[in-house]
Amino acid sequence: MTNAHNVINETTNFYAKSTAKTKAVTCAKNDSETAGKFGLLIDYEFCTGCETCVVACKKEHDFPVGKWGIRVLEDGPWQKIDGEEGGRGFNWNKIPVPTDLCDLCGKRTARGKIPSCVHHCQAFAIKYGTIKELAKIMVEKPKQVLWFPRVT
Amino acid sequence: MKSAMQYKNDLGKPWRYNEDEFEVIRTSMWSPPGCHPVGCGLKLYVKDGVLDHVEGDENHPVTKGRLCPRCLALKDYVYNPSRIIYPMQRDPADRGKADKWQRCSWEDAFALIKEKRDYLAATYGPECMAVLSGTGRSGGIMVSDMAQAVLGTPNACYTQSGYACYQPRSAACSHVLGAYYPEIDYAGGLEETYDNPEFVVPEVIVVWGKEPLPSNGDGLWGHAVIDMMKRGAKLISVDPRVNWLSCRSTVQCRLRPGTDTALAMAWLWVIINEELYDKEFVDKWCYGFEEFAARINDPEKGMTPNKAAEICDIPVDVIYEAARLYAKAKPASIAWGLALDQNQNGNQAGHCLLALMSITGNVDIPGGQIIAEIDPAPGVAIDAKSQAAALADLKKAAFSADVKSDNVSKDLLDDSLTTTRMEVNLDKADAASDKSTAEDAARPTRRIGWDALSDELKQKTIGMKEYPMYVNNIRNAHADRMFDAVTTGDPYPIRMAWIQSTNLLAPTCSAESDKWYQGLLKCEFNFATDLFMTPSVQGLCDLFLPLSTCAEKNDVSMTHYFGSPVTIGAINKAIDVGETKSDAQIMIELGAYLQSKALEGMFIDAEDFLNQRRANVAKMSWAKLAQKVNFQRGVNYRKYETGRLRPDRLPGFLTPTGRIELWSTAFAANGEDPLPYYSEPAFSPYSSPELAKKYPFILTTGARTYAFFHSEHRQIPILRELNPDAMIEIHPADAAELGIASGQWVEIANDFGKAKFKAKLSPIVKRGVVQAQHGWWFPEQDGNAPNLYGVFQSNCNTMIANHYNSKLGYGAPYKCNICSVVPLKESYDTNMSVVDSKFGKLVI
Repeated sequence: MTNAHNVINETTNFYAKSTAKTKAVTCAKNDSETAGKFGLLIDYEFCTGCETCVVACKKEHDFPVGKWGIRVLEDGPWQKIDGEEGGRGFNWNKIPVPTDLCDLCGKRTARGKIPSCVHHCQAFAIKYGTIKELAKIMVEKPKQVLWFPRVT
Repeated sequence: MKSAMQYKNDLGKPWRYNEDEFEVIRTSMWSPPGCHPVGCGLKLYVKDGVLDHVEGDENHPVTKGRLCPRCLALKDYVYNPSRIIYPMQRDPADRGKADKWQRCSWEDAFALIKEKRDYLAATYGPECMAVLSGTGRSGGIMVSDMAQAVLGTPNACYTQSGYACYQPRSAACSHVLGAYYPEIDYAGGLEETYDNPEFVVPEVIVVWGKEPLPSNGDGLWGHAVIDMMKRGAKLISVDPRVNWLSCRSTVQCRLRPGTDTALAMAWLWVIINEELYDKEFVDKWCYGFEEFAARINDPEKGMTPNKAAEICDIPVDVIYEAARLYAKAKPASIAWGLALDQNQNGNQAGHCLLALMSITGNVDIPGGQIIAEIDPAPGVAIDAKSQAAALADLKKAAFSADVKSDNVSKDLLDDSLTTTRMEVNLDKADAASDKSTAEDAARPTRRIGWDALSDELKQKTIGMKEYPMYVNNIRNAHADRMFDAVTTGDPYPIRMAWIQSTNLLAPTCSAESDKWYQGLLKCEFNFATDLFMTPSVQGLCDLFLPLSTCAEKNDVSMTHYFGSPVTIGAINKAIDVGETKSDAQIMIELGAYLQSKALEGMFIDAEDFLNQRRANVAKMSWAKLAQKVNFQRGVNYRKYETGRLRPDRLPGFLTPTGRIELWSTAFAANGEDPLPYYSEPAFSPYSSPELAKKYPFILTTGARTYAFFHSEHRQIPILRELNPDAMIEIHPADAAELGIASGQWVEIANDFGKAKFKAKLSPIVKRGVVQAQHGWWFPEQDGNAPNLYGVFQSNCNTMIANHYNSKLGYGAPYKCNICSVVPLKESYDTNMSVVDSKFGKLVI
């Protein structure tokens, strides 16, 4: 079996574990290096662009029409060339990007709840934790992006 | 600093609990607002009787806390300033005048309905009344009850031409498969879902004419497809248009719109001729396979991959690759969607897809297609001896030449049915023991009033003469014949309409919606049950009865309307708003007020209705279901072996032959070809080349958005801003030829109508095809007639003609029409600050 296959198998197992219970990743206690340094790890292989994070954020913060705490940006759609590297069909990725207004749901996390976008994501594609811990998960599979919106 | 252990969830919480200053009510949502009955888990946070906010409920076995934007915006719907929460009345002379409504009491409203109904029924016969309904609301599935039990007219009607939503497929299910809709297995009915040892992740999921992620069609949780992709499932996409799932598919078949039957027949050609089918299953459980194979190979009516490649406009290699990948995958499932219904060839497309699922042995197996178990008839138990005898009979019957003769077999079918049919009193008995069709058996909630109608009245159902299978199967008047009745008085005029849970003038459902409007204006009295002043109510009605949202009533959500063994959920009431009532309350209270014979003594109140007709399917009382919130039905696989697909508990399927009828005795008995065939869409470059010169684009409509459910949610600013304008997708090369810039408004037109859309230049549509959004009206615009909130501005349904149905009356060309595209100079862009200023400030 090639390395590529190992990675796919590992990531398959990795996904299989993603349930409601594991959306907030374990993070180290009392680590001065990670204090206040929380982020969002977003799997844009599986973000479907459903806008759930956008509306969940908006309701949580009561942002008015025209202002957002997170937005789904698009890469594509454009036609790839069949048979060449990168696969066939279309390139079309949806990538949620926190805005300047993202406070990582400070009020929620203070009450022990995970951020609303993480809680509601229909594809289980957003994880919340310390940058350090999320970075470890990031190397487990490609097509992820790690956002560090602010020191909380 | 927090460790993960400190992040809490609400797993294991009871159905009601307190958290800080809130009472939290766990519920399983479905309608209103309209949606499909997934029954997504919600926690409603209530303070002092007011809904403060909502959150996804982690306890839901399928959704696990996940929610879509529409439920997240529920509060903005419940307390929307434009919502109608008291009954209102208006003089029929003032239809279309927005400021003429007067608040009235429910008593006044019921008295007015009684006066009109008693007079019209006595003068013209009860059939002069119609109840018109739509999709996605809990009232929709009660349309027959409203018409036949409450008003006493046979004319319940879903107004979409050819009932081109679900019914072309589900008619094929009832008659070919002898079971209700076979959904993809996503372990929703099993404890621990994907981790249940009985479940097998499908190797391949075919997504055919469906966008499950935004649509959640009929209760399939769309993002379950993502869950299964993460667990290794590969995808095949069959869709003219590129979508998110098709980008991640191993094979994509981007066929020409409306040619699905040709493609499915070509897949069957490959699978049959390369002997990739499950011979044992076919031999044991399928009826008429040789005839079916002969049809697929027939030089004239058959379909080779080369012929299909030409018809469907896709490379022939793709057909071979897709068919082989599907047939060799064990297990494999097909998520089949609305696109199969929305052409005249829909019954045949459904027939072919059922044949694909069947001959590959994927019916009722883990990771394949799941079907609902039905209850045994009273007193019937599984008995090994009679099962063995029945199996032998099955074999014999299956090879009987009589059944296959051309002049089928009316006698044989009747004989066959009388052996299983039992007379039951539906008022008293468990309705599940009624089994005139597989659909009835799987969905024991239907036909509350039908059996109380006289035979004479049943025969007067509009469309009974022309389309008896359609009318009898769903106890609905035929939509296109109802259009004739409303617009021309043929076979007789409609004088009163109850417009319930449908905004039929908006481009959601009815075809030639502008003509429906003119026709319904002729009625003497119209009334509506709804939540918002839609253009349909504003233009046509004299009385508005306000409905409760799902936060304000007790009700039940059931995947596939009970037709699929996934979940049954309790919709738990959390708040009161105004003087609204639920559909069930209105049915029972108005029925009592009108002294309905059909409903007499049937239900004490709405809870009694939930006990008898909803929670009973979960084999528990409403009160118990309310506390459980979600009930997983459990799944027994391969039920054809154990008798659990038939009320008599004999093995096999609920068809006259007891097998999956690849050669359909029911189609034959109703004058339709018992085998599938391809027919070209009525309007296409091939069937109407002269017209196509004038209208060179293929027009498809109805692609889903996350922001809206059909015509709903346009007045919710935070959803509207996700999709402010009525959009049409056009290929950039086509746009360049026509001089259309990105974001420019265009007018599309054909011989029947025209509509304006904002152009989105995108390569996701094929060249020569445009995709227009449906459902548009503009609640921020002037409501007075003739504007009616701009309902005819971007109304693509004015361009769909009635009466282009299959021989049996099903299907219509909503997704395979033709049009011209002309750029406009004007802009019709929505001003979001106007929408926000009108609807942004909630009324609590």
